[in-house]
Amino acid sequence: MEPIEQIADQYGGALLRIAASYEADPSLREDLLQEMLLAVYRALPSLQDPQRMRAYIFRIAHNRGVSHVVKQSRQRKRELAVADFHIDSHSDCHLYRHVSNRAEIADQASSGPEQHLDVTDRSRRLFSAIRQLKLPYRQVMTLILEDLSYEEIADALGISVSNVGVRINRAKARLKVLLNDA
Amino acid sequence: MHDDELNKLKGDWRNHRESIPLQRITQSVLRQERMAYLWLIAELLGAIMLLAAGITFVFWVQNEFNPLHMLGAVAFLLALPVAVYSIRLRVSMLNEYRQTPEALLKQARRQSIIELRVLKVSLWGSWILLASVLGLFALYLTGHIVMADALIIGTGWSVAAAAIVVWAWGRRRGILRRLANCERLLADFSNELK
Repeated sequence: MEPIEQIADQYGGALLRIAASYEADPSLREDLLQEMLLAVYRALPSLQDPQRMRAYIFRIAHNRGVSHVVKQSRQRKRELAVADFHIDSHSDCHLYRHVSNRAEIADQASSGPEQHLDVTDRSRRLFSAIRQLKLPYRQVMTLILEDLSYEEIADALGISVSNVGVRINRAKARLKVLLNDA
Repeated sequence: MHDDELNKLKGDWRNHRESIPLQRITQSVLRQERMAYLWLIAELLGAIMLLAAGITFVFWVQNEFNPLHMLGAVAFLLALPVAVYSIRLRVSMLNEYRQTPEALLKQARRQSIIELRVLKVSLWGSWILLASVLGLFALYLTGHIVMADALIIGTGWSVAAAAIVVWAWGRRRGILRRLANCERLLADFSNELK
């Protein structure tokens, strides 16, 4: 297995979620994910401490996300409403893999369709709200949702641990407002 | 927001399900990586060729003054800094992982400002090319070069000048947009400290 395939296997889901926090359009999101994987693949030989792998990968992913926003043709006033969860209708679907938490998919399979719809709707609203957060808050929020420790977030974003704490508190407060408004 | 609320959000976050062609993407990543190195090698070779051509023309001009050779030397040596800058950009993209998001934005802003300057220089270059076309016809009228040479070279330079103008105006819009995005995002970071 190529290193890039290992990375995609291990971090593909997380990278896709980070990409979704920057890009609402699924086709552009796929491009962004590709750019993230390419950047990670290029930077991997420079990683000196394997213990820092997670923070390192998320730093690269966020940097790619930032570059993506910089290149955006215009600031989107409205989110793409329906595009977030597209149906697998491609002809080469045998190549497709669901990148998501497998245990949760198994949980959903055992629950009813209404509950499943409720879960995906909540998830869609969460991503939509996160995309509306300002960049400094969006970044810490996505990393805390990926279960990174404060130290890892500080390492990934190049800020102090205390600054991480401040940003997370503000991000949570802002996110709560956005989710209540949604 | 309490811990249980955050845990619920973590659940919703991880429930993001999307079908993506991961295998095709990884193949494409490997292909792009190979292409990136090929481009870098091509750009390096291009810069070396520009330098070699410029030096050759300077050498010819020193041996025997010829206005066409002099114009060639100026054109090739002026194009060299642009080629070197392009290589630098490509290499700096490979080192992006070292930067923090804020530093990355500052670098993107700096880069956009430099690119605007390069565009300005390019537009000046197109004016120089057009002036050179007039110079060329002056050389023809004074009997230094023949009509066929003046027509062929003059047409080539005029087309190049027009292409530069079209390219520069197209690029300018994109760069200004990037610059505005950088300013907006950097403002988010500086407001966050207040």
